[in-house]
Amino acid sequence: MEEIINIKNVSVKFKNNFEALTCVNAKLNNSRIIGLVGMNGAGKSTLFKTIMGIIKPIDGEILIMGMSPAEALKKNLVSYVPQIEEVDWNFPLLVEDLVMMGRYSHMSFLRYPSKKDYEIVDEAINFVGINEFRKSQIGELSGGQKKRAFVARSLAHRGKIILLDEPFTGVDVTTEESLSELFRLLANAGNLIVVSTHNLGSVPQFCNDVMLINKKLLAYGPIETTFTQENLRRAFGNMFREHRLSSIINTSKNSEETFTIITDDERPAVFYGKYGVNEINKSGKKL
Amino acid sequence: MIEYLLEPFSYDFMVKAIWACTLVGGLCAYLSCYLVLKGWSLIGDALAHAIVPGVALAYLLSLPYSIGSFFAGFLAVLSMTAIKIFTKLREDTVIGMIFTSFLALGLVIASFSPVSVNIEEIILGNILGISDYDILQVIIISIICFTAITLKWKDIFLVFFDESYAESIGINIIYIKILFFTLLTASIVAALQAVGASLVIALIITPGSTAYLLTDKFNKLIIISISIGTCTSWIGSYLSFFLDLNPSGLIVCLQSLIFFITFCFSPKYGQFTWFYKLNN
Repeated sequence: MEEIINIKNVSVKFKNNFEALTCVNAKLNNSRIIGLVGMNGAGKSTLFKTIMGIIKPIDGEILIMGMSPAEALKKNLVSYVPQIEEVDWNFPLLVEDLVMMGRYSHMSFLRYPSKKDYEIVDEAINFVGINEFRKSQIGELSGGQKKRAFVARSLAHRGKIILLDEPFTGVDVTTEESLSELFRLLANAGNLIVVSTHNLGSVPQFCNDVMLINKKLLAYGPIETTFTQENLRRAFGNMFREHRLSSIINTSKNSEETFTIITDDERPAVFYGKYGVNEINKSGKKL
Repeated sequence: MIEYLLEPFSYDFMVKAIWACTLVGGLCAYLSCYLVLKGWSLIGDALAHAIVPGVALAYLLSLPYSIGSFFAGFLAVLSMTAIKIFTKLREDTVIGMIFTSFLALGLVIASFSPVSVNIEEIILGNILGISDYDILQVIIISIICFTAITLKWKDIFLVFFDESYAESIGINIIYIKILFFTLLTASIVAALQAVGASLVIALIITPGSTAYLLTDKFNKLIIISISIGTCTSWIGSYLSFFLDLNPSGLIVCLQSLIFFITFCFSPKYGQFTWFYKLNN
């Protein structure tokens, strides 16, 4: 395992003196999928932008494979997949041209694509499985295909680190599963994937590690030990909706009784076992 | 017959008008491709009014009008961008607010002048009476503009489309935006003085929006838009000689006609095409 990002004591303050991140320390390794979990405004996007070098920390530093974010950007190590809401889907842009944007940083001043660039774009489009839509205007894609198109751009960019900002908003559970599989393939290929999300149910399903933040780093470690009710309660405070079904659990020793959770498309986080001692429902699937 | 068709070219003022219109038409059409992406189309209208304080001040200080109007125009664009960044107001509000403020300021400044200034005459250039100085200005600015945008067209497009990604691959977005808005202001100011406000305002909107209905590929959009801009401008000003019509009016009518045809019959986004496809 290789250390990719080293976040050393990073603090970020905005111009209006709002402290967005305080003393964050973490080491992120390759071949892992890391879930960055926190409320809206907890500093998830700020941490991403700091890793990309767009926001400069007031204290501490971030080293990406031993380099500063600016140097790492020049070497095309980091690529970013924006939130679906941030994109204007009416732009006259075809899927294949969007993916080609991933090659811009490898091209010269005029951004003129070479034969190799076209090959890499083809490969990326095939990898995420949107080949039949390559000539479509980006707005004609469905939610999951839109995400795939942007992931293909990251692949074409050949970043070792892929940062995904809320990849599961506006995406149904089936698409979410196939996207998760895609991220798993990318991580197995040696990439570091960091996914910000507040969709708790999906975290144990596909992340190796979880980072809980709320201005500070509250907890960071493997899912099995860190994604606990107690930590989640610290990260979400009172904003966290929690339904405890203790009476059902108590009576469910009888094997004929079943434990049922019904939910809409958003994935629920399901814990069972005694309060405080947690086993995680790894599948995350509807029971 | 041929002699009759070539008659406009025997008049110096017609030759100048035709070529100046064509150049301005192409230039504005190029810029309109970008403006239509961002909903900034009314900026041409806004700048035509926003340069008034610059013109008035230049008149009072006996400086060339183009310098005054360029600075006033640029200041207006800067204020619009700043308000857009720091508030949640929508583009139309910001544009409307800034240009009326600038216009009002211009009228106040103009009333300081002991001699009455006919601002309208200065701003609303006349195609058929283009001075050599204005033509030279348009030619120089067109060359700079075409070269700069053609070198950076993909970067400008990426910055307009996805700022965070552009920044993450090391494009300086502030630099790209300043470049674009400087070129835009310079082009509009030069074009205004050469061919008049009514023409420029239309030229900066219609070709881009027509092309938008015809293609989903931005490089094709640019080519279609520039072709529409230059062809209609050339044909319009040429025909105006025979029909004895106002050239700028005729050019804009031609462009609107093309827009209307596209709106109905565009292969992908045409309303009638859509209807036809539904019934077959």
